[in-house]
Amino acid sequence: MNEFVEQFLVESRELVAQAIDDLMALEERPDDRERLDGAFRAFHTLKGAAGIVEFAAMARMLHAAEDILASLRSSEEPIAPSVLDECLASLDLTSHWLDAMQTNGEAPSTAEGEADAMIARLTGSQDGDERDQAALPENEVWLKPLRAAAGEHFSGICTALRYVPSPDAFFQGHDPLKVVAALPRLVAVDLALTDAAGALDSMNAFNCGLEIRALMEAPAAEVCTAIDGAPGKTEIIELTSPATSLSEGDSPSKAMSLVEAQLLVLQNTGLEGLAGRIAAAGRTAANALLYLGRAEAAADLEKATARAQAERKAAPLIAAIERTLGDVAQPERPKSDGTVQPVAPRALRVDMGRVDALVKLTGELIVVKNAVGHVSKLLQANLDPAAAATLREQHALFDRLAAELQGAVLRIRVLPLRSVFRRFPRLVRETAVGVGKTVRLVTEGDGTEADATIVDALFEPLLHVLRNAVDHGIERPEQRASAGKPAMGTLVLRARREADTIRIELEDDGGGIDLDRVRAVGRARGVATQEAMTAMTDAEAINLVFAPGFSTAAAVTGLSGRGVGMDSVKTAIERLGGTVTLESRPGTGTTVGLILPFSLMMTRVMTVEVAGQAFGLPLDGVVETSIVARDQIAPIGAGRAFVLRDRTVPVIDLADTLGIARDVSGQGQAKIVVVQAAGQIGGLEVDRLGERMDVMLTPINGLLGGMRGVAGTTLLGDGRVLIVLNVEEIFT
Amino acid sequence: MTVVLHDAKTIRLIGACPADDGEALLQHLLANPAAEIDWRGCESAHAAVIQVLLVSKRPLRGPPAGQFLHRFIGPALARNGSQV
Repeated sequence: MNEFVEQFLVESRELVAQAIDDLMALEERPDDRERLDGAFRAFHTLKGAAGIVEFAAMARMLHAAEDILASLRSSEEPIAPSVLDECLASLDLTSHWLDAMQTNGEAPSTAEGEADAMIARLTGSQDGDERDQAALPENEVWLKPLRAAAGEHFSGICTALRYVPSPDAFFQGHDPLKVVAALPRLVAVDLALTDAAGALDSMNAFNCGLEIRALMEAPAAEVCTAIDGAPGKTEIIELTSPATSLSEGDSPSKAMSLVEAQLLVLQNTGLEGLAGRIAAAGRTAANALLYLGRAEAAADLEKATARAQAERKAAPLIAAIERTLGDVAQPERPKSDGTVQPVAPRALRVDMGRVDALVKLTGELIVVKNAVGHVSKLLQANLDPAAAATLREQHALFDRLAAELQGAVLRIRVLPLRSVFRRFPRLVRETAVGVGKTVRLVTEGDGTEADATIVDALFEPLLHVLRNAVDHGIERPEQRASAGKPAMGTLVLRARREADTIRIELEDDGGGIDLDRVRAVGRARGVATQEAMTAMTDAEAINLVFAPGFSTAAAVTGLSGRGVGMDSVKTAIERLGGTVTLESRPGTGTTVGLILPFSLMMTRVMTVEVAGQAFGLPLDGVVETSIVARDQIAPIGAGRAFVLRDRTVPVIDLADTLGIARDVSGQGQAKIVVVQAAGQIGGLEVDRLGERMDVMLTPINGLLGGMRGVAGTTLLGDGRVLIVLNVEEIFT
Repeated sequence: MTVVLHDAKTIRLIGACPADDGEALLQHLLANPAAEIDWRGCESAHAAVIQVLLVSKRPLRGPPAGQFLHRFIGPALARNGSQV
């Protein structure tokens, strides 16, 4: 994919997320002007980006949405939720297009039609008269008097200019007012003094301290051209009806950076298809210049593109692009307002691959640290006490710093769950409307953080669980009324950190799970045999809903009940190293619990030894360790078991399971690690209990990737490979 | 001469006032604190001149001869406190 399109995708996604954020906040506090401005800016910038990559449908639709936001900004009326819903829907559609673009590298062919439909929805969501009243944005301090000065003398496309000539403009022989007088279709001019002017008795008449504001009935591009070359600072805002505004340093600098990016595309000799790259880069750069209103430069660039194509060399185009960049670098055309200090970005966009490389390197460092620890232990006996103490001390320091480094590196990948949760209130509402219910979603603990991979991967399964709850969990309004519940159902989505895991719960106040129906359906679908079904406890029967191909919905709705219900959730969560629990309280509701690791990179393990070989057991599955006399372990059926605090615990000999031969006849006692797997307790017999350690788990790939019972590997301090076992798979 | 001290009470701007007139006007204004400005004969004025008008906030007798001054600069000065 073109580097330029990639950039577009990354930025657009961020803007979509930001706009969603602002719109959702507006939904809660409709009078929050800052959020409205934020959403408006995001839409505006998105539209600009779409224009630059020639994604006309997207630009068209976003323009319609932007119009609506602009009219909301100028109106004092409260914001109708329906309007926000349609704006959010337009963002959903945008996301959908971006996804398609990510996959195919180009805009989807269906976009035009979809855009038309969306624009119709957008305009339909708004009252006609509201649009007519739309006017200039009120928030810019300098625009207000200018607008007042213009009175009613303008309509249609309008551009506002704020021009602060440089203080030495008079010395240089410039007349800033002459420039302003020559501006196209001038409507109003306003004057102000900068601090440089001073009082009459102390003023220097040769120093320019003017600030000139002008309103023109002309597009921004034309104004740009007219003011080109004037010394000083300019800010140009195009005010279409309804008003739009370019926030300073916004799209113009972005457009220029796009022009600059084309240089990289051309200069990179490692890429193939030079002719294609010349054409694409030339077109992109020319479009960006046109967007900035620099038609002449764009025409130059097009000529250079043609020459480059004819010569089959990138050089002419590179030279032309550098010329346009050079023009901009001069102080004549700065776009930003000099009084505003540039704000350093608080966040830096870093490729995930680089972060992962850092994580991996840190992991290697930890391995080396463990190795150094091992060596230092071996040396302790041979060194003189002072040297030994220093070595120990330094190793302790190394240990601490390495742990801190690891913590800091892992925190880079951490995201709050909010980024997923914030999408749900609207989706729940839409889902509920679709099935004729009213449901509200309450989220708690959305500031809880987890690894970015986990947060991203949570959306699908959580959405499924939420839809299930709305569709199956919450009863119909009339049923709720007869059960004495409020007509509106409540879903509570809460998240919290529990030690090294994240616990996410979705609680509904619906009717709970109908166990008889679950059993009946389980039988009908052949999920379990009749005997197994009869032997099941209620708790076990509930877990039938996780079985593949199980679905209890009497009717297959558009939302869920397509037979790919909870089992897909379970699979997705387990793939992330998590577990799913289900708890039902008949008549009062259901709680689905998702327990996920905090970080995918770090695992706490306990080492055990079997027949001289070390293995790791993930610590979160270990309940306790126990030493049991061998005669206490009784054979039961094909297996063995012992009694632990009045509870029968099945025992598996780890050596047997792993196919390692060993002799235990001499030992009177067995060392058992009691573990929890699939909601059951089990014992693993081992030879020796080792230590606990934090490891960076490397999953097994390739030929051994499908091996059951193994979660991954890591390196021990002495260089041995530690195989970390998947306890769940060993027991099932 | 495009900036003329008519009497102690009136400073006239005449024709097209260049940048240097800014300083001349300033001197006149400082020397005659009660003087008002008559710009009825002014066709155009350099920004340096307008800047002095803007800072002085002195009464202006108009309208000026030039269209741009009449339509845009006069109202702008009025909004900034000059008596036009």
